[in-house]
Amino acid sequence: MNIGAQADAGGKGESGANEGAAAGEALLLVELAKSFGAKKAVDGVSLAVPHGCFFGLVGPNGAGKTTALRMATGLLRPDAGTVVVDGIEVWQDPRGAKARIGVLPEDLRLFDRLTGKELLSYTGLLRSMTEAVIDERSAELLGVLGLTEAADTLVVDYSHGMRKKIALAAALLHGPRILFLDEPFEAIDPVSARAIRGVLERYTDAGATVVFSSHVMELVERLCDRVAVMHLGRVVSEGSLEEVRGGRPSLEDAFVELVGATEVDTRELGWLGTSPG
Amino acid sequence: MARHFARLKLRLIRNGLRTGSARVVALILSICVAVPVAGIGFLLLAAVPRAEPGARLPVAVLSFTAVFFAWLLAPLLAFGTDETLDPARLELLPISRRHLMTGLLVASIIGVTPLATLVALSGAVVGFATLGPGAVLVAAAVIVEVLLCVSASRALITALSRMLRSRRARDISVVVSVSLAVVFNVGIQVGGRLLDSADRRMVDQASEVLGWLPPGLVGRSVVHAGTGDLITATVELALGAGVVAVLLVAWSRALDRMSTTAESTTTTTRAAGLYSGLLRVLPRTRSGVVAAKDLRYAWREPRRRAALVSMAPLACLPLAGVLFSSEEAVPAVVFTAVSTGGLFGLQSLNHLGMDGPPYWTNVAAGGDLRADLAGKTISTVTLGTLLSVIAAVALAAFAGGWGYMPLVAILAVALLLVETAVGNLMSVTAPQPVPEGSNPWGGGNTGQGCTTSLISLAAMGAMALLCVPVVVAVLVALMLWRPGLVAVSLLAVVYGYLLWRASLAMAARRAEERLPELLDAISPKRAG
Repeated sequence: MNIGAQADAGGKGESGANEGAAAGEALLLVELAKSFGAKKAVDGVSLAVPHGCFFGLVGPNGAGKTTALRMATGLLRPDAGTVVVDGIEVWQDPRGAKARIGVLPEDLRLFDRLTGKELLSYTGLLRSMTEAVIDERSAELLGVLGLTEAADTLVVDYSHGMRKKIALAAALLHGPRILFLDEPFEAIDPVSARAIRGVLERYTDAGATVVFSSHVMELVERLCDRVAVMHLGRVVSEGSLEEVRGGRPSLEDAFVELVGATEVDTRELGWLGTSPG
Repeated sequence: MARHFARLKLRLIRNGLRTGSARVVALILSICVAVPVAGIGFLLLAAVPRAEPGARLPVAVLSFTAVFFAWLLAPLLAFGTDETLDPARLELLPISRRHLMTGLLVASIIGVTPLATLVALSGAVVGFATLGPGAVLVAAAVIVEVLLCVSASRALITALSRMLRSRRARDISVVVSVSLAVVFNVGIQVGGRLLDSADRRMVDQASEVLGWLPPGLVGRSVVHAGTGDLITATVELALGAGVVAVLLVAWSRALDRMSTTAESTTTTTRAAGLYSGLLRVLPRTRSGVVAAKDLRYAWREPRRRAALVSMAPLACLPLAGVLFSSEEAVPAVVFTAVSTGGLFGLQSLNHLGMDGPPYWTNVAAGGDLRADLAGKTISTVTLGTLLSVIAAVALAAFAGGWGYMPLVAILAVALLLVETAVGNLMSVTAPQPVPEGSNPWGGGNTGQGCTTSLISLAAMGAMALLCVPVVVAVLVALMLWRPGLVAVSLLAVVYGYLLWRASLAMAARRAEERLPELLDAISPKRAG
């Protein structure tokens, strides 16, 4: 399943800032599997993500994207398979691997009785950063993400978009080489989405890697170099955008075809909108 | 429409029962409570007036008033609302206000509690009514009383649910309701004592005063209807019914406001930083920041604040012992203040569970269980010692013994270390998810309640056992040679620290490799 694929030439890794990166892929999943009871959430997923790549993981609800990302980030133990992040086997050396990655989970369960700034200090000190570095980077991240005003407000009082942004700041604070984002653009207003997108583009320009899952095909198409489509716990297609599209007009068309959804017959429901009021 | 709502309510009850054993258990429990309460209420109202005609007025007035306030307060203590009747859910449907209110009223009358209320109150028909028009009036009074209860509680809940939409109000309500529950308990204890010593005159006076409140009026009308004073009874009953009408109007207004006005503007809380103020002294390390976060959380997180606030009455127990004791208190009584910190230290049994799902932050940042547990110990020992010192100051103010104060603090540290030693192991071997939501008592991990409480009990036993040597040494020193207390206290800290270190190493060895599983264990399972 395209293991060992090299970086897409048209990708954003052109700035050539891959220096220092270990040879091989930023992320390598080999035959990753996880079941919950009888349900196979992830069923033998193999993927290779090159360094400096903006990698999109798409799939319908329940496809296993979140489970796969949780296993890749050391938050959920796989039943089988291996995860290698930046040359380190995640489940052999979790601490070493976690030092290289940043995570933005989907459900955003944060220590929300801390202020935005406090949450960043908390995360930074957990990662043994010095206070001076934390302060400097926090100020920058809060500024770029438009959270300076809200820095001293409890996260519980943040809007959904603000929560995503502060969680992204916390994930970026230690300058990880690979960033895992689970649905970073879901339920986000366009302004916040643009702020997040700007930060992510800067980040991959610097040679780092982003792996993110999303439902928003149009965004995936705009941002990603490579895409994998998951369905029922398996990768059904993986490659550069063109490869996955396979000549179809848009990624959405390819996606719908790949996961086997059918067109809605719009001739039914003819009574819609006919209420006399 | 009313039939529709009644069917909806019944369907919701039935579906609720189908979703899990917890609901079935809850229903059975509520029936187990409701049946005896209804029975006792019925007997009280049916038998006492016949047996002792002089007690008719107090029995009617006091029981009608008590039922009314129980209805008013119970939903507050139980956190609001029966969500099946949440009018906010019906806002978008084209239902007229009148239909909505009728429906909601009918739905609120269906249930175990309203049925129990009706059964208990109908005892009045047996106890007070005589054949004739009076009996009709008594029966009417029972119905008016039920309506009074239902409409008052509905109006209050609707008004409150609007208020409780803001985060800060919800936070406060958690703390208030926990305190209310504690006060309620203390009130029952104290009230019971007072009743024991009270004479008839006081009861008569109380019922005289309460008889002018709406439920009391209805209660009086029952008495008057029974004695044949039909005109007075009718007037009193009419007044009660008038109050029902007023309550219904108020409720209608509240419903109106709820569906047409915006949520209250969000208030935001600002804070100065993890390490500001007294916490400046904490180290800038992983365990330091975990301690700082936990100390901030002790006040900022409503459930932890509620736990802290509810310590207050418990902290007063040793003090109450001194105040109500007939003997002169000895200064050494300040040592009992250590128990206050000890009670707080029980929280360490589920250190990680208190963090819940957000603990992924620590796991994702390269899990270091040792440092996390150490940080949590710093916070627990600090707060526990502080509580002990506060209790000791209160005791010393009455009993003297200020000189013992430093020793109390040192001993508190020692015992809290012993407790967290057990807590470290428990937190990683039997971590428990703390249910989410504002209700501190709500929904536990269903089906395991019994096992987990047995394990916790065993752990508390272990804590107590490990504390015994310290307690014995202190008692011996107090009796034989007081200067020895200093050495005993310092040795106790060493003992506690050694235990704690050993348990930390064990806990880390056991769980360092199982952090993902631990994280899963402390995350409440979502419904569905």
